[in-house]
Amino acid sequence: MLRYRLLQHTADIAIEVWGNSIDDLFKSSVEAWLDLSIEQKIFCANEKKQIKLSTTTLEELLKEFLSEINYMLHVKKWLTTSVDKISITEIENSFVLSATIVGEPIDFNKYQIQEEIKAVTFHQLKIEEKDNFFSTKIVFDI
Amino acid sequence: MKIGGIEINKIHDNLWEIPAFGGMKVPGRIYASQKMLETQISNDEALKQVVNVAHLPGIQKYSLAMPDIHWGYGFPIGGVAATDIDEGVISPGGVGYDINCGVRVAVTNLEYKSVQDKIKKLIDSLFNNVPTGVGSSGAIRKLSIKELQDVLLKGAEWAVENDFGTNDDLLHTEENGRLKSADPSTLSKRAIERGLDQAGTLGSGNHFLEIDVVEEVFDAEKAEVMEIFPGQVVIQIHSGSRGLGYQVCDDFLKILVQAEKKYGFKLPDRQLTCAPVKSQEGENYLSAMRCAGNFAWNNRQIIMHLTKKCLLQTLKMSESELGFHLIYDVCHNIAKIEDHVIDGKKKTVCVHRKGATRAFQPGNSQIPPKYKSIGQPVLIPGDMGRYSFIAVGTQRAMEETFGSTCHGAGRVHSRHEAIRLSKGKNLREELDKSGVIVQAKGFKTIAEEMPFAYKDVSEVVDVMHKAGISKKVAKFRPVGVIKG
Repeated sequence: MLRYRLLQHTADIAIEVWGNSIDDLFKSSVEAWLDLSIEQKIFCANEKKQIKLSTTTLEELLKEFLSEINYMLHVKKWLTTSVDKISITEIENSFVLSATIVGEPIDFNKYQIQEEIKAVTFHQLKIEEKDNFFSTKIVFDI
Repeated sequence: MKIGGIEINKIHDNLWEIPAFGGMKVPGRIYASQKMLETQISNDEALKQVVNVAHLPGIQKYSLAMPDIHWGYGFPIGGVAATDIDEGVISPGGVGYDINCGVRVAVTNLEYKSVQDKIKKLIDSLFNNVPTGVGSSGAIRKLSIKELQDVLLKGAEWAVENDFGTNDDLLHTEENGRLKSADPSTLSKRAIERGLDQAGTLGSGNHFLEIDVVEEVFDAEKAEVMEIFPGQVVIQIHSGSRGLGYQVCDDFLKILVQAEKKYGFKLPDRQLTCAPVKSQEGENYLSAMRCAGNFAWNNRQIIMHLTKKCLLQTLKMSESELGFHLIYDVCHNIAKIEDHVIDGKKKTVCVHRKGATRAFQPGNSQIPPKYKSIGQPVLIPGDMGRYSFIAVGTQRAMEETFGSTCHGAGRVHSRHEAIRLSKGKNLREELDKSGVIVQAKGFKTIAEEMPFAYKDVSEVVDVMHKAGISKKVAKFRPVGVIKG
């Protein structure tokens, strides 16, 4: 089940996304990005890629992670369909992400782009935690 | 009165002021009718963003909002702010992701009634020859990195050098289609990569290529100078800097978030991230933004040339019979270093126009000789079912808005709402019945861009006309549209 909902926004796409841990929140954010970006809902890709990122805040890390996946789709034409493994650690005032993502080179006969996300913004991006439940708003510039 | 907890005072029927409070360095000023203010502008966070922009270091006179203002990233869309170049800042949020998104209008000798039955054929030909839609590419061959760097440096001049237009086109483009002091080495590898195959492509979203008919002329004298007459076929192109521009914005937001900490700015919103105009970070952003701006001008120039070729081939006419030439090209997402008179003294400022159009007065040295007597043409597109406007800049714009006016209609319904409201309708047929032939990649784009999803642009244009900022010259009605 998808773990996000659309919020009211006239010009762009705003969502609220949630998860049971920080790692899980990052995963559900990718699922939301995929649901918005691609029309089809069933995927069976099996190629794997590694992503490593480091930033000074968790919000920057989430923005960078989604931006990377979005860049891979629109420039490298490689569609991420799920997150296999993800680990986020705090090391000396910085946050480090290491992830294995699953996907495939996009075949436009098989998949249609539903929404061209131009960019993932900092707009309203604030990761909040309550009783081990994590959530944030994300605004995509389209 | 108070809107969303913000005190707002009436200056006149079409101008409102938010007095400075808290950390605001200047008051906010909004051009709008009372109805727009109460029923549209109050619906989102745009007014709060006008207040936030007033906190920027070095901001001059007012944080300004045009009547098509809506919620944006940091700045509202429809926001204008000028900052002192010595003590002020530059903010990518004051330009937007689609750097130099803009509009150009070209005229023809054709009367609509003589080509009415060929519009469908023309739209099909344009749809086949101008790449549209998500990630569209291949309008011209893929450029080498060296060629792209040349485009970033030269803007529309590159297109003209490569036979995609004439010197006359350059003369009638804002900044002659080229912003100087653009150094391609300030762009990331990713930004370059995104530009290689996108020159001459329209893109997706609200970008379009339209065949319009001049429906009404408001000022015959000025229309004559622009060679516009009722019933005439004109072409309107709305596009920007594509993926390259988005990447420049994204890259510099990252850099400037770090710079902001270094310079110790205290801003009410992280999205207003900025750097001093005269810092390394600020200058690098300005340079990269100019490169993206140049990419966009080259883009619109190539699209216009492809359009001209389609018209010549489809209508089987000679160039002189067609009489196709550019009226003007404006950008509505940009920051520029300009001289303005502030408190009686000439001052050099960095004018951010985000969803706002330059509107310079008659006699200004920056506008082409042809328009010196009437003022700079201002192109204001509406939605694809109703109309667009052409206006001219005024002295009053120089005095009140740093020579700026509105840029379009602005949405009233989100894209998702528009799709929901369109379900079960035959949109192509509906538009066809109202006299507009549409070609787009799919139902979704048409649904998102349906006229009901937008404000009535005539209300926006009228506010600026009555306020004396930009004066209406003519109104166009669409008869054929291609969308991404």
